[in-house]
Amino acid sequence: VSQDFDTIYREIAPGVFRYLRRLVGSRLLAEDILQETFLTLHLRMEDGLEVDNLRAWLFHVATNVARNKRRDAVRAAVREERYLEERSLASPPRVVDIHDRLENQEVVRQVLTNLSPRMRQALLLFSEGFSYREIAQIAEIEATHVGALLQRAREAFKELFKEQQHGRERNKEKQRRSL
Amino acid sequence: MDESATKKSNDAPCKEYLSWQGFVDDQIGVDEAELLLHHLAGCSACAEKIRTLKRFKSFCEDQLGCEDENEEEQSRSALERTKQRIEAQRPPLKPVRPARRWWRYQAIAAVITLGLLAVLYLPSIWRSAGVSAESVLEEAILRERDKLYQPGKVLRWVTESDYQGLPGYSNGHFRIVHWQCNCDGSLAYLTKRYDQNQQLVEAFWRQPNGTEVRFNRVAGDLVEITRR
Repeated sequence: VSQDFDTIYREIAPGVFRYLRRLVGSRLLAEDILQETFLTLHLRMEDGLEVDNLRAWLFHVATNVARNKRRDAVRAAVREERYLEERSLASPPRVVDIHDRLENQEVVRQVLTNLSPRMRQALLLFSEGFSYREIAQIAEIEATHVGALLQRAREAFKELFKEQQHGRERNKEKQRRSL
Repeated sequence: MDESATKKSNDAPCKEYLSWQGFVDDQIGVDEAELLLHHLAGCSACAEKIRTLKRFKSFCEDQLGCEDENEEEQSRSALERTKQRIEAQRPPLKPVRPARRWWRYQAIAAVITLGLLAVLYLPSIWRSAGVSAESVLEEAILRERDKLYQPGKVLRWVTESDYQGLPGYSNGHFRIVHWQCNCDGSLAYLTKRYDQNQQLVEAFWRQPNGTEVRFNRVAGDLVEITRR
């Protein structure tokens, strides 16, 4: 590893954070995992880390740290974040298109949460630009399974997305009627 | 489209379907892609499958892309915050040790130099006067045996001859061991003269530094008689 820590952080951390945020469904938790991941990198650099693909190595570390987080901790973090977001969004007046965008964002987040961890990993890692082989290494799965896994993940994503949207539209309709 | 392909179009996609996902994601080799394209040209079922897979892919990418756009600002501040936390928690860097390394190299250089000096000049370091001639000779032999004169660096050769009635020379058997250093050409030799009873009666030791020591047998003992 010839680059210095700050350069690596500047170049790779945004992608790792985006991946983690979507993977665990919580920004706060993603921040914690990102911190742990880069602290690990720092320690390993002190010992003279040697890797062929640093970006894939960091995603692999981040995936493992995320996997080791207890499920209840993940759920608690997600709950806390949702609560904080709802509070912050409740008061200020919102323009309609911003509202729609935020709603769409929430749907995507919900859909990702409902995908199986393997599907979620494959989908997110591919969207980060990794090849099938790299995805297999990072997520510790067979390289020959990645294509099929991605296919199922995409199909499930679209299906769940539609379900979520229909559900929200039904709720809106109910609210309108009750008013 | 040939007949078989038309017939196929009503059925499920072919076995090659397994590779379609890799094809859509650009994860297969050129040769394989070429084969699949060839198949695709004549199989409408597979062509439809490809279109579906592409639609799924672009849908996911669009939605994830939109989601990321909306997150950009918050992500930036989160990254900054995390960086600060990492800075605060980063263990102190281990002291840089260029000086220590410099001394290490110096020490290695000193050891090598001393070793070379020892090899080159040990033969010239001799004991002070007062040491018995026997022990000096013995030491010279031991030094030779111990390969202080390193093979390949110091040439060694022995000459033996019998002198009888030659003017300027004592009678007897002469055994001369020569050493010459390959490095600087300095020469040393040890001449021993034996009488007819094979007893050592005289010795002459010329050291590489030019010092000469002569030994003679006096009253039964071999003693140093001159040194210059």
